[in-house]
Amino acid sequence: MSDNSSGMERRMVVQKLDVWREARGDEGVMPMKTAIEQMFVEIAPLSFVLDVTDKNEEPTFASIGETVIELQETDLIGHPISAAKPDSLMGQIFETLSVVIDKKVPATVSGEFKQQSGQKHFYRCILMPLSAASEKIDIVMGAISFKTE
Amino acid sequence: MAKKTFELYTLKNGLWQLDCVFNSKQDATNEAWRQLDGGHFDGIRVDQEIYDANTNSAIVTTLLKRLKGDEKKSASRRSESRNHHAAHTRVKSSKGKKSSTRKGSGAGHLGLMVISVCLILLVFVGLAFVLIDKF
Repeated sequence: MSDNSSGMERRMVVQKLDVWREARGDEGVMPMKTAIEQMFVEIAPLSFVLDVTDKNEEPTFASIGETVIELQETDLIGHPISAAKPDSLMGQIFETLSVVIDKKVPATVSGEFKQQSGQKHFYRCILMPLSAASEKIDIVMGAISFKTE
Repeated sequence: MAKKTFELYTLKNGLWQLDCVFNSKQDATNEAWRQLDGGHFDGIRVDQEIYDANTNSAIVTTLLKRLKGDEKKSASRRSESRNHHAAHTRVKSSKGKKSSTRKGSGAGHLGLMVISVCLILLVFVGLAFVLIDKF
């Protein structure tokens, strides 16, 4: 599955950013319930969820969409983010994760990576902080769009 | 190793608020213009932050800043501002030290002053001729 238009690729990130802004409300953070209702079903294969409940523990993958697993070539569910190889897709996109959690704002990351077969992909990713009930960040939802060279 | 990020701030009710973080300057400025054009905010700002983990300090440079009043001029200034860096640079450190530098052009002001002095002299010379003619 690939997206051959960089415009479309950018639009996915911008769309999710707009949804996040509209839904964050007075608390300043988008509620998890709204995110699942408005975004997750639509982007499930291209998304992943990080559990960041415990600030003293490394964030772990709570779920990963099937397309993301194909791109990553490893199922990292239940593993910490450091388990991802540095040059893989998941090894590249968490540079700004601390900002997302500490400042409670989304971050977008773009770049490229190669699979073991040598196939090159360009990607854009958005990381969105979500809360279960309060201002505390419980999970970070990520969504990826990509095109293959 | 230093880490470079681009932060988009939006201005509403007199308060600058961090909106989103980008790892691409172009994505950050594109989104900033989109937000300004959307008309939901009173202003936008894009800061480049270079964070050095070894020294736990960051150099912050404002790459783009526009207020709603500038909106009409913004379209013609877009390409200019994309190449115009270092409008305002400051250094943040873990100790909270801050310093700032501002670039400014004095040539424009000097030119205006020279023109003003010349105009005043011309007025005096004109008055002198009028007075000489009368008396």
